[in-house]
Amino acid sequence: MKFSFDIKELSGRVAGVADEKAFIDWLSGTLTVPAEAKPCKTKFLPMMTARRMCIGSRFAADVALELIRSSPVQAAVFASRHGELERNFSIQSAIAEDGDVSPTDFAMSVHNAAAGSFSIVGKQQIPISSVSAGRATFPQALGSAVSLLKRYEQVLLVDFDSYIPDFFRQGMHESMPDLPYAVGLVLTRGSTVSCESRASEAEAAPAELPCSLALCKALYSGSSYSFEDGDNLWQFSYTQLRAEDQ
Amino acid sequence: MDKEALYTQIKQLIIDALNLEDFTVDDIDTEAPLFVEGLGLDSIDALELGLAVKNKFNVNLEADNDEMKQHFYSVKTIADFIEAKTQA
Repeated sequence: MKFSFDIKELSGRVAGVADEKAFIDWLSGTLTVPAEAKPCKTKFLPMMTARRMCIGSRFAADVALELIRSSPVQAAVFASRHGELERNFSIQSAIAEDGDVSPTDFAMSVHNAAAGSFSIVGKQQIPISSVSAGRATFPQALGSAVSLLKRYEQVLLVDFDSYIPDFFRQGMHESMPDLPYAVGLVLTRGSTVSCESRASEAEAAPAELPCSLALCKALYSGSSYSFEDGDNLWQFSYTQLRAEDQ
Repeated sequence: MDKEALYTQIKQLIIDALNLEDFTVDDIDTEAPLFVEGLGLDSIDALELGLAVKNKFNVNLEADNDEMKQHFYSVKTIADFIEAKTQA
């Protein structure tokens, strides 16, 4: 698979990073946040909606609502490897303990909870899909979003994840990032960023950051970036972004 | 239990169960409607609150009907309902 695109706008959230400017500063290394920083409140997603969402989903909807203020989009792709895992774990725990299942957990446990909240709050009656593809979630969602550019001028891609419940961490690689985050990209047709994948069964390398965050950091540092998902090697090439241009 | 203390307990339960992060007990009017026009709670909140009241005060709730809607109209009506159930 080979595809290319331009990034018109990007934003994101991690704990301690509340908006687009802080996110760009964090990506480019001029802002550091302490490891124990708490997630900031959402700026664009109302509390009455945010209160029901996992932290990663809050970040995702908030970033999406932020980006469409200046860059209207005609379609969107929401990507999350684990989605509403906290909600699902809570439901399964309640059932296993013969307790009552929380109606809120039940209502918000679907993979497109963030996409749906974004659509409702942002009044976005546009095609929106939700993608989960294991370790390859971000590059697969990126390919999906770029394919939509054949039909649409501007497409929103949001990649996010929440905390992983301790229960599941027992069987996971210890280098697996456990960082609630969201990255939002407004994509347009172009060739500033290219991505090429080829089959590779090399062991997925331990990653400090999720793929989307690592790519965005590399875009600002100008360093090369590639990503092994266990089945494919995804190689990115691009022109370096400058923080002052965003 | 003192009625004011029960009101405060119910208000805190509403905040905790429904994750009303920016609210304190002082923000909730004892007699104001909880749903739609008042606090702006919805049907999922009604189910969540019903579950929280059942677990906290050990009262059985009937299936969804108009009578239950009246019991969950405000903090005051919930308190009256709990008192009636626990004293029965």
